[in-house]
Amino acid sequence: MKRVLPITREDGPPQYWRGPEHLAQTPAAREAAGREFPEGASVLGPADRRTFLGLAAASAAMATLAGCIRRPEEKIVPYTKSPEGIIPGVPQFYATAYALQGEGHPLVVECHEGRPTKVEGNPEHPSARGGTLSWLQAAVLDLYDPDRAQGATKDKQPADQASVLAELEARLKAAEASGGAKLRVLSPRTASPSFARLKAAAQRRFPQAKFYEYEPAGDAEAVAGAELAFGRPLRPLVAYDRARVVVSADSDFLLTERGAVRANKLFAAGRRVRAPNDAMSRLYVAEPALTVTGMTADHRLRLPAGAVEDFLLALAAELGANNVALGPLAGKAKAAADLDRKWVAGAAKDLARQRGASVVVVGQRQPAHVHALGYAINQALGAFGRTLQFLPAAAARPLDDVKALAGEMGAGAVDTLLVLGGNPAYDAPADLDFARAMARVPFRLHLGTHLDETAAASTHTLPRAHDFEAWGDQAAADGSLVVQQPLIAPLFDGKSDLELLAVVAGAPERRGYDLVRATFKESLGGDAGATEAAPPAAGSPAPAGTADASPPAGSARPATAAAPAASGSAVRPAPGAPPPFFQATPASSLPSPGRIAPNPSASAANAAIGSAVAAAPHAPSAMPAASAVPTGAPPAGAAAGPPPATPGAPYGAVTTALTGFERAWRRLLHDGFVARGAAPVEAPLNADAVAGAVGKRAGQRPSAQALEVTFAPDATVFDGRFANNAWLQELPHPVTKITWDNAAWLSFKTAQELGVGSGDVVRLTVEGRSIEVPAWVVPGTADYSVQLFLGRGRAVSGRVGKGQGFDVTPLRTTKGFGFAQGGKLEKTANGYGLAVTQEHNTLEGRPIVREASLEAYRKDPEFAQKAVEHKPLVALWQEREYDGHKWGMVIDLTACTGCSTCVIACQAENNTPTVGKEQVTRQREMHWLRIDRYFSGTVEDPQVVRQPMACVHCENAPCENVCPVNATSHSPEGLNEMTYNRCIGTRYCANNCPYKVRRFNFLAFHEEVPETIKMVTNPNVSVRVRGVMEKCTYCVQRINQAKISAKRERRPLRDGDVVSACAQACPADAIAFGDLNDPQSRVARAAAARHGYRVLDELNTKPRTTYLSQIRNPNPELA
Amino acid sequence: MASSAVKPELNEVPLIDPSVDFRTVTEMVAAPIEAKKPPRAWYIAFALALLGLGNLLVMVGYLIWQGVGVWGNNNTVGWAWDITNFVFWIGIGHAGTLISAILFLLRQKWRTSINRFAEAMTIFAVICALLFPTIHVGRVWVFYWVFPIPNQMSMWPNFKSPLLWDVFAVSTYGTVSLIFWYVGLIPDLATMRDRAKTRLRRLIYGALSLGWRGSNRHWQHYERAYLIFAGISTPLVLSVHSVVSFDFATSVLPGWHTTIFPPYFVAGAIFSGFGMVMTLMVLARAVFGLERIVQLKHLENMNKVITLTGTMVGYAYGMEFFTAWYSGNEYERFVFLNRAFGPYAWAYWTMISCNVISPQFFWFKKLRTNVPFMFVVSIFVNIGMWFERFVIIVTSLHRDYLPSAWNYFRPTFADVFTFVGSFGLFFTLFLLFLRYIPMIAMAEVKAVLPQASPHAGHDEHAPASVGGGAHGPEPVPAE
Repeated sequence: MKRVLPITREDGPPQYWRGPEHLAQTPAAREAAGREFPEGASVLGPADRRTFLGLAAASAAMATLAGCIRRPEEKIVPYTKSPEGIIPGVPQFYATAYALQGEGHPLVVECHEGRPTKVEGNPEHPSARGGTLSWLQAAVLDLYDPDRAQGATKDKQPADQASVLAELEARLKAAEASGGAKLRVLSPRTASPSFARLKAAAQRRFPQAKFYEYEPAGDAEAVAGAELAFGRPLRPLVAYDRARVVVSADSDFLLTERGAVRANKLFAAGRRVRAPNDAMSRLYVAEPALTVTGMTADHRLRLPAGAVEDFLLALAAELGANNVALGPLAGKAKAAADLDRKWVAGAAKDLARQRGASVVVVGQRQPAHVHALGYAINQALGAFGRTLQFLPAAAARPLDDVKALAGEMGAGAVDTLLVLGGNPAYDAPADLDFARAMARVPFRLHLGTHLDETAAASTHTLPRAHDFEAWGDQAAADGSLVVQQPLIAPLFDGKSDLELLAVVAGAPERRGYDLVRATFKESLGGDAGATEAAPPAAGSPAPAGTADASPPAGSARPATAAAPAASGSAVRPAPGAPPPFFQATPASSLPSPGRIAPNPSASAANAAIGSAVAAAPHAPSAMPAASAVPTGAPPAGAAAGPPPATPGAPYGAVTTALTGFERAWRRLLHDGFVARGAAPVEAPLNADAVAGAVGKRAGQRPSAQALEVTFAPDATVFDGRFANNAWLQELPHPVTKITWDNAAWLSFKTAQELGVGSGDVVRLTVEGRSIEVPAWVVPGTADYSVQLFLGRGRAVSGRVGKGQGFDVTPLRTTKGFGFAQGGKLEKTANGYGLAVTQEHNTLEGRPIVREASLEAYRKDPEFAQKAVEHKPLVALWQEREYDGHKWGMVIDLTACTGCSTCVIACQAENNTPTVGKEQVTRQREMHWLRIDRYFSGTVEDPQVVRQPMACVHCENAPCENVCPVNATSHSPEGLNEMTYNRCIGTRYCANNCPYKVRRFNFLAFHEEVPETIKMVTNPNVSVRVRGVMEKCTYCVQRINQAKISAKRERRPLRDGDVVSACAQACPADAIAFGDLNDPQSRVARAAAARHGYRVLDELNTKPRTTYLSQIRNPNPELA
Repeated sequence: MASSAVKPELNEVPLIDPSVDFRTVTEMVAAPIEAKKPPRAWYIAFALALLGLGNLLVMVGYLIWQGVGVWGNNNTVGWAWDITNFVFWIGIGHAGTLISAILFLLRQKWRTSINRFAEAMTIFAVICALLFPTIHVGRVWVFYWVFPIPNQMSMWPNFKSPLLWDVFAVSTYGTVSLIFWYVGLIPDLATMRDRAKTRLRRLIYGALSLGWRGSNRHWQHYERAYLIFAGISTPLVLSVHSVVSFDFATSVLPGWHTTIFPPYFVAGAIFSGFGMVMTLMVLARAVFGLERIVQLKHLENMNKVITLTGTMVGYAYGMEFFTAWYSGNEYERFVFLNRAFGPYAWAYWTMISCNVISPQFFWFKKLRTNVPFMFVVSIFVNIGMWFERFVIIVTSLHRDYLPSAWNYFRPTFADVFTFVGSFGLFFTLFLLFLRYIPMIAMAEVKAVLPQASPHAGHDEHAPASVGGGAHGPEPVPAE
């Protein structure tokens, strides 16, 4: 990077080169580039004894010398000619996207001198609004994974990529004659327009070829269910903020299902309680095992996954009893004897009472006809257009594709197989025996990020570019189009799916940039400029091509919208756009306002908060323009200040000079998304078809002899694609707090009847296939239902993931893909040690987490303060006054779902090491932020509370006065600061911390980190050495960065300038951070909420972190 | 150090066996030093001690090379065996100075037979104790930052921290104990010098005895200095363990934050110190044949102190429970219930059995004068007092305020071997002491012999007795 960046072609990403030789691509240069120390420096050669001894003596002498003198001075040479736009030390932020379950997550990624280091949600995107999930936060670590596929292979031997590609091209050429009759392409489900375009082109080239899709966990069944109900493939889009009652039938919509970020944002908005009159939605969850969604439920029913259909029919029956017109479904609706009738009736009554503001959601693993049944119930409830809408989607053929492909391969009907991403050899249904079927294909090429199980089963492999290395485009959860820009040149020379598909299609463009741009140009055509220039007036029907939440009239695009040069476009630092923490109702994703009655209680509540809030109209229908917060600007009601400054002003002039496509393209690159794509459609529901499809089979109920086995993507490593990601491996599971492993969850009753205890290894057999897996007794698991998690036990993975955990895919067949019946479980003689970060799961009656029902809270909003009585507190030392900034945090326990995104965000931001399973077993995990989870109630039907716990920055910090060397001290702004260089590691501070949030470097956790992983470190945060204490700093580096920026711009610091990593990442906006001395700040107003409390305040520690009590909204009829 | 008459009507027994005179004292004490070869038992013990010391060095090297992670400590239990061992050794280091200083001021003449021994033990125990806080820190190489050394970085320690108080308290105690011990050694070193048969011995003992000639003036200064050091040491005996207890008492942790800690710790320290003196004394007495100087009566007196302090410690255990209950503080209550009935109940009941129950047998004279029995009890006391520190430190930490952080501490092999190794260090030093330094204060023992009395030979009441009154005039030179 010392030399100037050469040849920036206007329409392409820059090609970085090391020197002229590299550019020339001479073989000598290539050879030299591969060797770090040229000229034989590393080669000793065949040395005889004398030479060896001589060298040894010389090295000893040198080592002695080196020990005596100071290290040689090293000079850091600055750029002789600085690359444009790069200021060393100042990070740049690029809008991009990451695809998961075929959903494009709009992101903004922080880059330091060309290194992507931290992922943030795109705060300007209307549905994600800056929210992320742990997978997205950890994606940047995957980028630097040293175990990624590096270069092509042929027959397991390293091969030249060009020759592999040439071989492929030759094969394709030959296949043209037959129309590609023996050509098959398998890819994960994607919503990428470019992919669709190239696929169509490839299909034109090879009319006989087949393009299959397979996703081990996705929403294919939901789309297929919609096809059943509506006659066309549609994807449901739930407006959780408008739903007063939500019933989830086995749906983990808050974490592992598609659209979870959006769901979190909206769901939290519908439940945010700041004042006694605030409205709060009610969540009913019926599920076989606890999920993040289930932990959040007001009422939870343990229900085997196989009984969900019966549950929905019973619910329909109860709805019928509440005068909900069911149409043809009425004939099928019937109560089920073994379901808790009172519970079902209560939920149904609630749904019926809130007709038009209630919704039933069905879990992704349920079969299509159950989804169709869910849609039919929703229609009966009048949810369509109000709480539930549908977006067009590509047709889904869940499992049909992969079944067909395996059959064709087994029959020898395939001679060329391209697997574009994914890992079917590991995660395809076991009965298909995919790897073996694959072996019958003569030419099988896998484009994969890792040399995984599928790569092992392939003849050829190509390295797949990480999403942050390649161009692409995706559809976001709300249907808007997000662009995926590379942030770094492919580290391991990877190719993207699009680039390989372009080869198949024989497309004229071969580079990702050209492909995406061409797609955009094709779809946008000439009207792009017009769309940008004239956003639709509020309230008017959305014009074709403009999806929800397009910028309303009057709220001009933020001043930040200044598209820079095309090759990569910097947007404003993400912290500029704070999450709408204090907003009772943020922008809903629903495009057509006016159809839904305003919620009077919500607006009244907002009025009660105070003038600052009341000034901002919140009722979404009444003032749609206000509810769609101008992106990038502080939310309405926040402290008024000048609009965000415009960095990169010089580009502004250029942009204005551009018109038409180029302008729209640059805008897309800058913003990262365009709120166009699929608009919600209205389709008539074919109730007869649904009625015909459901209730065919008598619902099976599991028993001790025929257990139900359910499969779910793991809340940490997902479906296995993150198995080599140490951050996610070490992330405690939100429910069990198990790290590095997965277990088979059993209910207490099941475990007791089968004589199994937590940690016993059990043999689980379904239809003759069996696995061994440790059992774990988990409260809230349905009896005779065994929950298994995908994604672990990878046979072929990198150094982190290999052999970690237990592979459950052998039990997963086409018949029992979401859940299987008839399982048998027997105990083996073995035990297995699991690394659990929380050993004690109840609160012991301590007022650490305070909670109340909505009703009780309304009666006594100050209940939380009354939980502890204590005498007036006197401090031992003189207390400080804080008249400057006074940083503080508020964590809303009602909004927190325990999804653990903040944990990974904190880890990524603060260079927190992972310590490995053995050290977790020794309770030495280093997470600065942990999520405590406590159960209450009965062991079978527990209530759950979650409490994110990090340093609370006590004003009277017990850690400070006990440190003998003043290594932990207080800043004038009230931060409890750790001076790592001063710390000698007595650990007294950790002992004296009542919150036990301090983390000690027991070993050199940063020492054996591979070189590439070092690139992910945040340069603004010290990497801590062995033997020092560390803990949450309230992201002091972000505070200082914001202060420096404000000082440079000669303006006071505004609310929202400083956002801690956890607060920024939280998809539910459960965390607020800011200046408590600014009465208008979101954090100050939230901290003033009457149900706020400080943990262990009675110790007079004066914590700066305030918790808002958990408010539940139980149905009084079910109490 | 006047002797007083033994009153047979009060069943008094002479302090030193009547067969012992000035000469036999010198001969007996000097014998192990001047012997060509020490007894076989010494060699065996020294080999074992060196093995332990080597093991300690390996363990400390391993610790410093790898990090504190080689021990079992974790995020919740930041201190475990390291600080337990520290407090354990500091406690043992109490008996010596207590016997030397406080019993001296209280004119308890029976102390003369055991004080040198106990003082040496103190010095070595303090050395072992200092080892642990030094190596338990994460970055040993910057441990010196705890000392207020002026430096260009303007770094200064935090005087609010009890750990810093510890640094001063323990180092002061160690220094004063060493000087006190050394001052007491001077007349005996001169004796060794005078008896030395080799040049090397003459030189070393000559240098160490600082030109002692036993003149009246020397004795006068010596007695004055000894008295002053006794005066200085006495508050230190009380203060050092009080300050060590502040490490815990000034924290916010339930189970640590207790006002009873200073007296309770001091009583416990004396208890454990006497226990350790007893263990060592019984062995040395048998090995070196000192039964005539260290009589059963001395051991019995020590057992009485053990019973007293053991009962005080037992009272403190009970009082802690009462205070926890009476405070109404749920966290306090929980900690004590958890101690007795939680996951570490086994450690708690070990502690109670060893510390509270086992010394109560000494109410019976038969048992407190039974040497094998007292040896066994003294071992129990040592075990119990180690567990006391373990119970205080680990059970309070492992379950404090937030149940989410609760966990269970398990030691590693490095914990065990470091602790065992510290005994290696202790015994290496102690065995060297036995071999090269008079293990009994000859001069002081001579002062309590009947011959030392100004009335010697003139009084019908013969030798000095245990528990004799202190009405005699001031000391008489021993030689």
